[in-house]
Amino acid sequence: MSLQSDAVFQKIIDGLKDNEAKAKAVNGVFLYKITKDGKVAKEWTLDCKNAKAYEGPAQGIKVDTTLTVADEDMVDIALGKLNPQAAFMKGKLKIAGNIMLTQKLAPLLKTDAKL
Amino acid sequence: MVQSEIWRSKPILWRIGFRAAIYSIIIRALCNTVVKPIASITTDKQLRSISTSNTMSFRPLVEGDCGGVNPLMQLGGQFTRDVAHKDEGYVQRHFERAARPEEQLINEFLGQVTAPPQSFQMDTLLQEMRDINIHGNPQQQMHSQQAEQWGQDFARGLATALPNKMIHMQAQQQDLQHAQEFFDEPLISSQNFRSLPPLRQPLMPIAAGQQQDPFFDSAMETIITDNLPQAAQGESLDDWISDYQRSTEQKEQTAANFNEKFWERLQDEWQKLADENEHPWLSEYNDNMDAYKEYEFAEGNPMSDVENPFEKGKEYLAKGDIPSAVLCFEVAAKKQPDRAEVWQLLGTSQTENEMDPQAIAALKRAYDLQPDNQQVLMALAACYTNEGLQNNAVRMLCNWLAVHPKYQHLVAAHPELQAEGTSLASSLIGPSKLRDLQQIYLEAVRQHPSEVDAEVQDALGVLYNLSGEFDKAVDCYHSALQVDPQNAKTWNRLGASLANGSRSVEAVEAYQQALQLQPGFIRVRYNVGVCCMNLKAYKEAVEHLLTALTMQAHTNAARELPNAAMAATFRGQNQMSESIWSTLKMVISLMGRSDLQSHVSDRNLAALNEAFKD
Repeated sequence: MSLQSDAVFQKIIDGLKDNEAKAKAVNGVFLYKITKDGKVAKEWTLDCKNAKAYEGPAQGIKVDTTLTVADEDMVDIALGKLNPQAAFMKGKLKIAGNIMLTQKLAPLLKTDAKL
Repeated sequence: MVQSEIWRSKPILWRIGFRAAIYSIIIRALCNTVVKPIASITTDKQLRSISTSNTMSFRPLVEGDCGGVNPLMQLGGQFTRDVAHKDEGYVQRHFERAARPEEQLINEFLGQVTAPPQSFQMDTLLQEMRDINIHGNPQQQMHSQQAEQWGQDFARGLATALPNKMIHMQAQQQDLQHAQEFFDEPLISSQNFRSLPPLRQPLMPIAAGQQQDPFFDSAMETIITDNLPQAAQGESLDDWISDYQRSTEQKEQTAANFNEKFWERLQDEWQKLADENEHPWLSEYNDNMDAYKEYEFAEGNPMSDVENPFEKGKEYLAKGDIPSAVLCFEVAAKKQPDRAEVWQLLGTSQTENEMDPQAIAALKRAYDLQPDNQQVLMALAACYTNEGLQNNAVRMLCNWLAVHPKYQHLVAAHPELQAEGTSLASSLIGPSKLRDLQQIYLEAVRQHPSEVDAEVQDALGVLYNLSGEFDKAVDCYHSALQVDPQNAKTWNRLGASLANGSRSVEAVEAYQQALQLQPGFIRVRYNVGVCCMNLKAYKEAVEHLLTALTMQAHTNAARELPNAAMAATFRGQNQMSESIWSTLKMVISLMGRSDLQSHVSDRNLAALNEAFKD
């Protein structure tokens, strides 16, 4: 099953390869549960400690933070249209575990315009 | 005769009496049906006028000259509007409308919260503490004004006479204490606080109207008792004001102390970690810095044999052909690695070429050779901002100010900024350092209020981008553009600030201006692509990104060269930006064109151009 957020995670995987140092600075392991129509469709693990990202649950490492978000909302967050804080407050993004780490993650996800 | 007259008049009398009786009944009935409803309508109207004036009264609160918009009051406004007509059984459709923009409310609320790392309100408290120290106590002046206002309003209220209200008056002391407690509630920031005292003020005019609303009874009590001291003895009101001031100052003091101690403790922790063992963060940090150290030269550069590559590069820049200029400058840098200006131009060209990591490497070489070069410092600050390395960016901007002849003295006045080596990680900085630097730059702006220094505005714009205050950055760039409207770089920065502040449509306009001035500005084209992607215009995004990549891969330089053999073999693969490719990949995924993914991973530009030809 292909979701829109697959593109987002592909970009994250590439970004991690290019920016290993920045990823390790975040120093956390995130588990993303992407939901479609209310049910969990896919899981992605974002291992910043090893600068890796892959589909499926975390392998061999403890997860610091689990985020549950819908497919469309994940895309919006990555595009910068939806502020992760706003999403959290509206209940579109559920976070379990170490919340502070997600703040560090935000710049990695968003595609910024360059000065 | 008389009898007969009398006898004849009796029925007349009866008839009159009878008619009178009937008429009175009719009239009474009419009265009951007409007058009563009128009476009830007036009370309804009053209720309505109260509620509207209730909500209306909150308006001057919100839009008036008290400390900014208080989101709580707006929420309150929504609520009172809804409750007003409940008694009449009037189903309030408005509430449904009010319920949906809960998102609106949330967004408004969030819109007033600053970027996460600096959202300490204690920070603003610190700031206000400093302001108070500098400017004397502004609250004092405000309160004396308010006291006069209250006095006048109270006099007006008295004139319309509310004798029955006076009866409710309890001992002055009791209610005064009640007022005191009202203010002694735990406060977060004095900003929110300043909006509360004016709350009482607008309620005064309402008191002029007669109603039996219990809510206003209690409110009136507190207001009147507060103002009674004014009428009776002026001194106690002043005492109350000074008490209140003292308590807020104390609170701010404790908050500021807490803030300082917290940061000191944090710093100590990090220092301990650094001393004890090689904390992984720190070693990574060092590696990160070194990642930009070495500049990677292009292989098989077709410009290698060109005479005087530096001049050739400048020619290409003048023509607006950035990728060709980059190739020339690389050759020049290889030949003359000790010339700072070569590295400088190479660095700045790479920024316009959307190759920040390379740019940073080149600019650092220039910086090593010439630490007081203003353009180098500014360019480095922008690059570090793009890469998210806050501390480095702040340091660069600090140095920029320190080497500027006009503003050096401002930095000299704040030696704590220059102290390096205290903060360890590069992306997290003490919120105060960024703030301090912003303040100093604002002082620099204030030094010459009539003329705008475009460079200072540029630097300030970068600072605001760092702190996430994009709207302020936009203002800075607008000012800079007033001085020099033909500067494509400034237009780009304006566009980027707009885009990062989620004003994508305006951003596109700014980018268009930049492209008109300099069509070969690769970075702007990349930014436009990102903007289109954010607006979900995927096809346009792809077109822009492909244009940028094509310009980079097929440089004019390679084509115009006499050395045909070299030009043919030069593939230009390394001349294309990683960032453009990864964004292109994302857009193609979002479009759902998984068939093209293989081309993207192979970096097959020709195939992609073919696919999107029409």
